[in-house]
Amino acid sequence: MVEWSDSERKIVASVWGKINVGEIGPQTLARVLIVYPWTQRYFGTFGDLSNAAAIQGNPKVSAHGKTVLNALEKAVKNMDNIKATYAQLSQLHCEKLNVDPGNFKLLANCLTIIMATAFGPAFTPEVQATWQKLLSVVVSALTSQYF
Amino acid sequence: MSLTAKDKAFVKAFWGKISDQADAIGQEAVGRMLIVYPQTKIYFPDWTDFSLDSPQVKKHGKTVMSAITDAVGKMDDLIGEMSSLSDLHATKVRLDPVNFKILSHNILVTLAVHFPTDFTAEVHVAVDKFLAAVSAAIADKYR
Repeated sequence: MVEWSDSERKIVASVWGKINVGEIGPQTLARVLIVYPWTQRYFGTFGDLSNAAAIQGNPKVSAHGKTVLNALEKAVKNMDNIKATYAQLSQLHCEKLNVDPGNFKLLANCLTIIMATAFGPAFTPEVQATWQKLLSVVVSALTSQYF
Repeated sequence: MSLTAKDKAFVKAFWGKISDQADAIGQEAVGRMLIVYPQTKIYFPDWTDFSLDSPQVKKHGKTVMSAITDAVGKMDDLIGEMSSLSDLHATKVRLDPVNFKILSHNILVTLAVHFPTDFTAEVHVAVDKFLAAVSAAIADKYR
């Protein structure tokens, strides 16, 4: 079981409270598709992903970005039970979507960078450490049903 | 994943904007790395202070970032130009190659924190590719 200190719990709650899912979600998914273009293979039905501007203006990318980031709330609200919380989503990503789990880490890295952009110096090393710990637990949970 | 002419142009233009803060960026990137990835402290056994404003962190951040800034001007032959740094890292430092990605990530985070407008998606992918190319050049002599 993952141990969380009081300070880490406070940081997670505080950071989540400040995140604008409607902005950060779309920016994060767009960033993944731009920085790691092979991930575009999972979004064959999304239309024009031919360049950065097209990706950033794509309404399906935007909508799906919000879906993905909203799903992160499950972790924020269930910090002591993240693995079980994501069991179904893990199965979905493995069996139906066939997403290589390496991509979860890419998304986590892009989300971290988008948050650093949004928060600026408030994204201190301590906040970064806590946030990345949360994301790595989520990544692990999403990978847990793969085998 | 070689650097295109467009990548090199983005990197050069962006570095032009950040170069006068390069030392501070290096300090913060190294500082973040030591805090967020504490296992990296193993490479600095004689350091006494791993905090962000430690003089040791400051000095090493400057060393690392100066070499990276130097590499901006050497993008046409990184492997050739960074050969002696590669020797150093392979034989003396024996830096586990997993750490290239870790430091690169912390450089990107630091850039995003301090240059939110200039560190666009297109700059991000170009700089990420550049740092990966620098890492490959440093690892070139590993085996």
